[in-house]
Amino acid sequence: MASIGTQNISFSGLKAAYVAGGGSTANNNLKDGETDTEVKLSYFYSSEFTDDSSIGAQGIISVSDFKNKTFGSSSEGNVYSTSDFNFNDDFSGEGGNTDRLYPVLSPTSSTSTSSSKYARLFNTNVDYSYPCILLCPQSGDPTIETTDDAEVWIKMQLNSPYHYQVGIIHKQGESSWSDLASDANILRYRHTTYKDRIALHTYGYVTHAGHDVESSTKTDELMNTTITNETTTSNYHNRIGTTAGSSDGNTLSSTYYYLQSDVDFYQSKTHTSSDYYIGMKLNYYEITLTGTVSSSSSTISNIQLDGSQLTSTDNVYTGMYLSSTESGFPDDAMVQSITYYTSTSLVMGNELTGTGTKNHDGSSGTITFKALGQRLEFQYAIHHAGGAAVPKNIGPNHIILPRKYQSGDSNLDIDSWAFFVGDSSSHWVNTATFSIQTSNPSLYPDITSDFLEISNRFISATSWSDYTGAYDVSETEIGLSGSYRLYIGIKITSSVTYYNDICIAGVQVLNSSNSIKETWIFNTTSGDNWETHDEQLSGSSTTGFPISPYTASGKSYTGISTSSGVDKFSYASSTSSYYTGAAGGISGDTGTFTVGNGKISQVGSANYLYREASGSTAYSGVVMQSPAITLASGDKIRVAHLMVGPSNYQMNADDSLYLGAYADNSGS
Amino acid sequence: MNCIDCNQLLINTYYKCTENDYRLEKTDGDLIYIKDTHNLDIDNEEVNTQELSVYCTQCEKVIDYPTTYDTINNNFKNGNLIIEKYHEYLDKNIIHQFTNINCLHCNNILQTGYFTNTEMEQTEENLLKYSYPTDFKNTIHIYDEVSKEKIKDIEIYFLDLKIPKTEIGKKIIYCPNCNFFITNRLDEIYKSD
Repeated sequence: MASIGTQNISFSGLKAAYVAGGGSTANNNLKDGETDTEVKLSYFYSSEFTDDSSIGAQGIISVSDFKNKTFGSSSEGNVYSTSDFNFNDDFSGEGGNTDRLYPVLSPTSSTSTSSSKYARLFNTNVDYSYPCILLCPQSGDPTIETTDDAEVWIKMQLNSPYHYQVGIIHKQGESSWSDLASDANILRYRHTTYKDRIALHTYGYVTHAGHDVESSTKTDELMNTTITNETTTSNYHNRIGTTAGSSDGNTLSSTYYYLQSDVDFYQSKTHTSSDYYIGMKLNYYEITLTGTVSSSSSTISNIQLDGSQLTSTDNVYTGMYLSSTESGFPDDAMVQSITYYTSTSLVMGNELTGTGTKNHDGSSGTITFKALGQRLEFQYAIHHAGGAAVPKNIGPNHIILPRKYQSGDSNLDIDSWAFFVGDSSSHWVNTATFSIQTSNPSLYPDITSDFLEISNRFISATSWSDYTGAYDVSETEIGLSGSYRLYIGIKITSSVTYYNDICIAGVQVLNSSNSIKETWIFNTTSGDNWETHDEQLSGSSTTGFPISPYTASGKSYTGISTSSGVDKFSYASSTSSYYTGAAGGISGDTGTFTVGNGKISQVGSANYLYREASGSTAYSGVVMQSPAITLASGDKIRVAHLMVGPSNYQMNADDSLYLGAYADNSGS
Repeated sequence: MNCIDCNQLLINTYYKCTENDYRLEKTDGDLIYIKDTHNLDIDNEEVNTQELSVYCTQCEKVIDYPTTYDTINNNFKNGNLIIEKYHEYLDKNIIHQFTNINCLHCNNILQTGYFTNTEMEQTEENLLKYSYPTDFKNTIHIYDEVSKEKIKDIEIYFLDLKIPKTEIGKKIIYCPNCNFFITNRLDEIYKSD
């Protein structure tokens, strides 16, 4: 039984109800088929209910959030999860006889198979410039209907020069999907910016389709920085024949990219040899509302859902389509804009042009109407050694799929969509492996069981003296609640051990809303109350920190000083070995740490924490601990760090700087 | 080479690790300064190591831009350090200091110059054929630094070269014979005919 009731709600009962509801959006541990395994409330992140509501992907959850709900999708159509999808050889632009992009037996195999979770792109037998292959949620059928829900996650293993396309394409009047692959050449000669698709180009941009108006002050969820070149009011929303996904040919200029001419905004995430995961999430909503409208007006006010004012969490988005059986309600209407207030109101716009308004020509009064449409999100996740980073939107927060496309002079109905991946470069030697995942990325890495490597990158020294560039900032989102201590470890991985001076200028903890909970900046030699363990911990060349956070929690710790050594952390404002170390820390007045590479400028006179590497033992670790801090699920730990050394004796950026946490028992 | 900030002749120095300190010395052993003291064991792998570096006696600082060109390995160096990119390329003209480098492809002496560029337009015709920006092209117009005359046009891909926003950033040394040039950022660009 998927319904939950209002009393005696247990974790095991929630799990059983989730399974009964056929859920696929929350943590897969809920579907392990066991009745005696651990159930955490955080497992229910992203679970959906039949009344269109859902549990968020992060933040605080309470049992009361589940009262009187029923697990399940509100969808009118099919619901596909990533485990349903496969690549199929019938739907490749260069499958079959030409064999350049096709399903393979395994991620490392070149043996073609008819259907598989894996597909590879090769650079031999090049007949077509931009081959693509469709993903099938049902056996031999790529179709996603216009009222379906679907979510797929693809592991991207790309080789230089990393120019690929991934997205969603409509059927554009072809009698079968295989015609797109062969007869029509659509999956052969069309790159990312063709208007028959909405896509991410892995060079670092997303093509623009219907999405909400955004201000220049919006902070991008993935990049954690203010967006640039935001879409302007002159071209937001779907514009049939103009914006992505709304034609059967032609192309977009960069004016119609999300973020316009800024074609490399996401480049550090997508244009890389490091593996990452792209998710495409499609949700169909059809929500019945009431509201008050005046005759000849485009504004509907006092909008209510089930007797309450519509709020921003009710899954009604700008760009969604509007329909009603009320006399005089306009055809081809959509949500031009929406204002949430004590009396929520919306302005009706034109579904075809995306601009202007549509008036209600019927009588004034209260009307019943529907807001409907398919919401597409591109998402991004990258796995660390100890787990996964929380998936984030890449591109706009929501894209409402167009319902029509322009073919010649006509606007025709879009009858179905399909997810695809493919090549978006004709002159480069592109090879890649795409692996459809069987489950969604887990939300948080477990930094209590194992240390997690967090360094952003290795920086090759451009001078023998201390590095003066800005600090890199890592971010780790965690699912822990309660009193913990954080542990940071440094491991020696350079083959010449003294080229291993890793510097840590500060650590910051923020909540899920990005409000600062605690900042420790190591610019002075006191006040931060971090402590160091005084011992070189023997390690090995195998990736991983020498000890666990549990073991670290049992070690003895003393205050940190300026007295340096290979077996402890110490304060410094320079290190003397050439080609490694930093010339200074960061300002004690630094506000919110900005995540990314080269984000916080150095202050030459400020201290930082480091482990002296001269004379250290290869692969050994040292560890330090924070004061106790109360953590909550969704908190973010940001570490300002630098890992600089000579290019010919590099530290291992996947095995050098570690973060852990363990429950603090000092107060018990 | 002379210092690009004060024009003083640069000197070679050694940064050394001894049992007792890190120090900067002239090549004849004269001490310039001691950076830090310590007490390392003679067996420590770092003790008695040294790195060749370049020093300006006028500015009294070790400089970090390339000062030599290794004609065997074809790379720019500062002391022993290979400089792959010159990070102050927008503001300081370093590439015109190198007036005796042979072309990697035809062995002619590279000449000082600068460039402008013309990007392929995003017309529908071009967008139908080419994935943007991946397959778009950029025409580089090479000019001689002294005569200011255009020497040649070289068509490269849009992504082959990030176009600098300053005039100094567009300084190059170019081959008068073939389609090879090196930018002030030290990017090496070559297109066969």
